[in-house]
Amino acid sequence: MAATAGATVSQDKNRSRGPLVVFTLDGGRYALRLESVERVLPTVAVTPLPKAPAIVTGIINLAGRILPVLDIRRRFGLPPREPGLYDHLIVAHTARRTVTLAVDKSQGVLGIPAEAAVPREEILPRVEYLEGVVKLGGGLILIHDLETFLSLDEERSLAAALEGRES
Amino acid sequence: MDEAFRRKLFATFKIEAAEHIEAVAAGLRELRGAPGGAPPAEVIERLFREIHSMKGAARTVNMTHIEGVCRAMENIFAALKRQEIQPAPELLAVLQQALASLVRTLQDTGLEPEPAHVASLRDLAEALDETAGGRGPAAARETAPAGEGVSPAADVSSLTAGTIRIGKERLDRLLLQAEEMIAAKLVLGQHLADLRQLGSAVAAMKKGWDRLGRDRKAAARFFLTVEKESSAAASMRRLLQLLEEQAAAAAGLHHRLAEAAAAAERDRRSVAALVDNLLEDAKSASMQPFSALTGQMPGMVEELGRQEGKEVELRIRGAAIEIDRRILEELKDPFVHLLRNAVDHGIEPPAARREAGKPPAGRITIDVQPLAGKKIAVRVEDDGAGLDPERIRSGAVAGGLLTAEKAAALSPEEIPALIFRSGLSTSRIVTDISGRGLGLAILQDKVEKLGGAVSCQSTLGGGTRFLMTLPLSLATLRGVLVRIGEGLFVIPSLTLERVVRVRREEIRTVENRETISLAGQSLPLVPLRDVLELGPDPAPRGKSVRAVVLGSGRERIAFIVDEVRQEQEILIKDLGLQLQRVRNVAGSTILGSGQVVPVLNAADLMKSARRREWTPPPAAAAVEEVRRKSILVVEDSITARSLLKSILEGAGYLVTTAVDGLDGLTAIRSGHFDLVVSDVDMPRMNGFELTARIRGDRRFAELPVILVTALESQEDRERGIDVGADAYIVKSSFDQSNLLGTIGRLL
Amino acid sequence: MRKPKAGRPEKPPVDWQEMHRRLEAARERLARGWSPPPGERQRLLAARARALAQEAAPPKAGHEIEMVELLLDRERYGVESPLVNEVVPLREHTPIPCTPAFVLGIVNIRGRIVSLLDLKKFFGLPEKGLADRNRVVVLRGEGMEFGLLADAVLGTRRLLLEELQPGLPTLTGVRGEYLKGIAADGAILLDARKMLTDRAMVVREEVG
Repeated sequence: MAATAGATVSQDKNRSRGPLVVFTLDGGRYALRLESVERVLPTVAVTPLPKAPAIVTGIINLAGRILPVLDIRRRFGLPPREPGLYDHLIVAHTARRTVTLAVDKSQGVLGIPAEAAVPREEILPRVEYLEGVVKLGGGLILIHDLETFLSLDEERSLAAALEGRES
Repeated sequence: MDEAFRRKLFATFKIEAAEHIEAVAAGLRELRGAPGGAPPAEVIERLFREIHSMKGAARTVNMTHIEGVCRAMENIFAALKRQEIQPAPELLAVLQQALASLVRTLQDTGLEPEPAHVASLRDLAEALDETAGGRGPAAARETAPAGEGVSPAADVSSLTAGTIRIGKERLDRLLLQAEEMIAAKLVLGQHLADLRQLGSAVAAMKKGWDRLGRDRKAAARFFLTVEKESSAAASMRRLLQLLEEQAAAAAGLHHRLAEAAAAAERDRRSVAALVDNLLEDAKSASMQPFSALTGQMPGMVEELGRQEGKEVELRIRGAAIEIDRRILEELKDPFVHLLRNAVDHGIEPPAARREAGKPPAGRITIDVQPLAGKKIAVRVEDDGAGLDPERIRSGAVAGGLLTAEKAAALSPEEIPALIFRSGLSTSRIVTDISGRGLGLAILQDKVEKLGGAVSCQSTLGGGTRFLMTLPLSLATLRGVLVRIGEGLFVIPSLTLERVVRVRREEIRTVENRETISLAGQSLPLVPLRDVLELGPDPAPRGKSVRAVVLGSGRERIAFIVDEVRQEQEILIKDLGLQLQRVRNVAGSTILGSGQVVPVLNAADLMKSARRREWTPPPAAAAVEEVRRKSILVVEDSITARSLLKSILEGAGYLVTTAVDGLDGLTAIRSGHFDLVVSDVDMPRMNGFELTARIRGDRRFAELPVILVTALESQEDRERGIDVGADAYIVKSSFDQSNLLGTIGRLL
Repeated sequence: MRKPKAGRPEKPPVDWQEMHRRLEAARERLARGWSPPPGERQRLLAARARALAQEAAPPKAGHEIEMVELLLDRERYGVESPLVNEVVPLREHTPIPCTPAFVLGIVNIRGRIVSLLDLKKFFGLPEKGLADRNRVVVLRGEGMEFGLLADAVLGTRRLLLEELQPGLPTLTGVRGEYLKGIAADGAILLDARKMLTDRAMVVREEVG
């Protein structure tokens, strides 16, 4: 299943580069591996989750599944903004859980020729949260590494907050 | 390589090779006939090319031995080209022999080359090589003795002879399509009939105009004499002018329609002739000798005999007679069954035969003979034990086919006919070889369906003989269209003896059964409606009835129908894959109008009629005092119409149907009805309008109208009541009882 | 056409630059999306969130089939799509005598004769209403073909076999073995494969 596929990504960085789901944040282009993406939704109202780490803006209910919404703007140091009606939510899998990312806009799926991708170590040795970069016609696309998105602490407190909600 | 593909490839190769061989043979003839001196270079060039191509083809299908001979021959032609050697008669003879060997090899070769061929062709190639080397043709002569004198040209012709191979399926498709052309013929006939009908309508119109001719002239004269020009007179003149124009137009139309009908008739006739020729040719293309059916049978019979510990020999006479391949295919299974029966039940074990004074080896004979009228007679005969009448009698009684009394009353000649009835197997032991009493019924069924007949003769101890007559080709069937109630049916003309009209007083009731007398013979009279289980006749029987007399052999039965329409060609189709065999129905056919009609199975009808313990209609029915109430059903959906009709008829009403409001209104004006049941949503005139029109006519002001509709809004309901409907039934809440209840209240 | 009257003041010339600028701004707004007042936006987002929460649960792992759904007396029946050869309108049919009651007759489909089955009679169900049977759903399998009569064909949909419930007792009486089950929304799934392969479906009757 998709969740397992996400796990494989984290364990084997040398695997062949599959297609990407590209999205924008304040004009910059970012991407997630298609295999980790479940679906893209028009944004919805987010319910705050008490005791959640700051990086979690809240939760949404997707057909009965409670999913945390991660504040990707904050992680990349972009200024916060109110969600617009035409913003998107990307539902994606990490090895541990399914999360949603609030982005400006998803631009769809992009196939990447192998030579366009450069492992992050080569050009951006110390950038966190990034798995790599591809250089395509319109400029650079930063490939986001979901597995490193949450720190261990954040992971723990998110789990606790979600459990606390259930009990 | 895929086996099927190889087979296909090889078949292609054979055809191609035959063409090359023929060309080479022709070239060699030309060389032989050429005057002395230098050989014609272009002939040699052609020979070289032909054999070169054949070499390539042989290599493609991996026939290296053939390729070898071709290569050797190619070398010789090359040497001839270079004029290193001369086309001496000896050399040409050797080449011709080589060609003959190739022909023979090709004829015998299957997918895998035969080792013997391979060896001899290799020798041949070597000999040819030596010839090319100029050492003379001696060696070649040894391999292919000149004495055999095989003419390659003659043999090649057996390979090609203006013949091409064509797949069975393709041929069948062609034949089927040719048969479908009958539909085109029928459709043209229908169009012609429509055109003629239109023509007579216009003729009536023209007649009307003609009758008024004198009046029109008088009127014109009158208005010419009017002295003072008034605007009224001018109007009248214009009207008269228009009338004249219309009369002329009607005359013109009449003339043109007559011409169009004549042209259509010419076209129909020429299309009919073309279709008939096409069909005839297509049929002759699918003729096959009887041996195609019987080819494998001698071996099969021997083997079956061995299993049974019997010695049996099968002899076939007249196997070269050609017959429609589809008939042969239909006959295959029943024939195998017949032969198995003969081996299993007919031929005795050797000891028993010796005891009976017969030769120990049994003999089965298949004898095929042409008959007049495009028919053949097939006799299948064995010299075995014959049928035991007592066993057949008791078997028939045990199988519930006959009562013991009836069985006892059967004459010796009548007994063999019983074995065709399903459920009867005279074998005491049911073996895996013989069937379970159904096989002969199937044989009879198939033969009858093909338009043939089968009978059986047998003497105890003297063997059994089956006699079949079969058509040479599947004839285009003709059928007579009959009507029962609203249903049309086709009865194949072959089985229909005659059509009669019987007056009520001519019908006699014998032993509770109705009979009529025809040409001194008393025939049972049976309503076809009852045999087909169509339910009771809603109309009382009139002063006379129409009946069709069907017959097989001496037995004839008259079936009552409501109407006999025309006879026409029919293309019989099946009833779809789900309806494999339906009692009394042989198949279906499509009329020129596109309507699908069931084709009845006469043999079944006879059996059904015999089985039926029918009772004559109660005498009261004929003189029914109470007039039954008559209802008009107006509904455009055929299913809903049929359903309503059957419900109402089931409740004892006389039902007439109309397909829309306009049709309904016409029916109401021309007939007498006690009540109208109408749909609302219909083309041309809807139910509301129909109701309004009915109410608008003083004659029908009291005629009850029930609207049955899918519209269920309050508004529609109110509109229905507004226009004068007596009741309004919504389809979704429809059931029989509320309809019948409503009708009961209104009548 | 009216001619411009003399003496009218001249219109100011069009400011094309201003026009372009406005168009550009409009295009940008469209690209960013329409921004309603905050209250309205909250309401819309909340409505979306509710809709998302109520979205049908994603198909669970299982055997999903696609079926063609047909309407018969306001009841919905389904047959597996791969077995449906075609759907044709029913104009007229020819009843064939001496066939079982559930065989309504035959139709000519482009020169091919196909028998028509009435599901209501086949399952011994009471006929409700007087609906118009005007569609034929033709099922075809190996050496077998017949048409099912329907009032309408609703289209195709996907269905999890695991979610089927066993047939209602009222349905399982006559020929209940040809029913696969009932979908959560009440559609009755027929075992069309069985109908197509069962020898018992083939009419083969002699006068006997």
